[in-house]
Amino acid sequence: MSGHGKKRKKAEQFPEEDPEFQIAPMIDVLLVLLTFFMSIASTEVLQKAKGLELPVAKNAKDKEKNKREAIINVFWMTDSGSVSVDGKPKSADLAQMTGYINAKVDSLLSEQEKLNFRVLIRADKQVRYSYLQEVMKACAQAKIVNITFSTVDKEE
Amino acid sequence: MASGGSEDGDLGLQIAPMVDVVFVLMLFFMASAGSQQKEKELGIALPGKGKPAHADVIETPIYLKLEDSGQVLFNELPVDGTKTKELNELRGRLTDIISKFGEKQPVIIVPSPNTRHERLIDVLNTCTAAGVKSLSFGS
Repeated sequence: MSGHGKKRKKAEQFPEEDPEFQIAPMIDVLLVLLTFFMSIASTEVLQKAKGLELPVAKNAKDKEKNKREAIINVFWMTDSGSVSVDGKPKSADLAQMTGYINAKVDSLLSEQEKLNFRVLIRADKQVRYSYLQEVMKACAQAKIVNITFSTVDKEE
Repeated sequence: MASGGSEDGDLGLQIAPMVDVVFVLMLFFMASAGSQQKEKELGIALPGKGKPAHADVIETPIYLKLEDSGQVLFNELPVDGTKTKELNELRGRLTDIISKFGEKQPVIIVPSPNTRHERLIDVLNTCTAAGVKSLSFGS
């Protein structure tokens, strides 16, 4: 303590010659950095469905937000597919899915909104094209022309 | 409290451990931000009711066939390997075509029924990278 006292006395005599290590601004900067990394870690949380592994595509576009859309999860179990629309499981009969999408499109008010409506297909990477084709046909029957496939930017 | 603390010396706020904890938290969030998976999208437009933009121009579409083995056929000509994820030869050919005929050049993907979705996405990804805008599926 006596050493500190001497130092302080010296600092008072020559204030410009003693650049002390400032802990408070350092903590400020650290907290700002911490808040920044915390926020980017929590804003882009990938919504995952159990048993669904999305394919990797490096050149895909960023996901558009706040769009009117129906999300179709397409699962694959060894040799057969199953779908869930907006989190609700649908039967293997894809007509039920078409009905659901139709009802969702009809609930929208303006024609412009109906035109912009899109279907986001989140298909497992093992899904065979024959099943995916049926899903796309069902979308076409619901008069949806805008179909988007969901991917991830890198392997887990 | 101040008088109680005077017995064991000054119990002030300990800065050093707090800085340690903040550092550890920051490292954790920095590391998790770097390895984060992000969902992206690849779009196509199914044939709809709308009138094509250049209905009077006769265009010859490019057919990309996908075989069960994963082999891609560019107008019946095999390109790239069956397992390679980066389809560089296909990308080169598509980029050439797009630079000659414009991005409206239609490309039709014809996958076999047993093609895996992963392979389809590889091809769609290559088409996007080459700047193909007019994409559709055929059978």
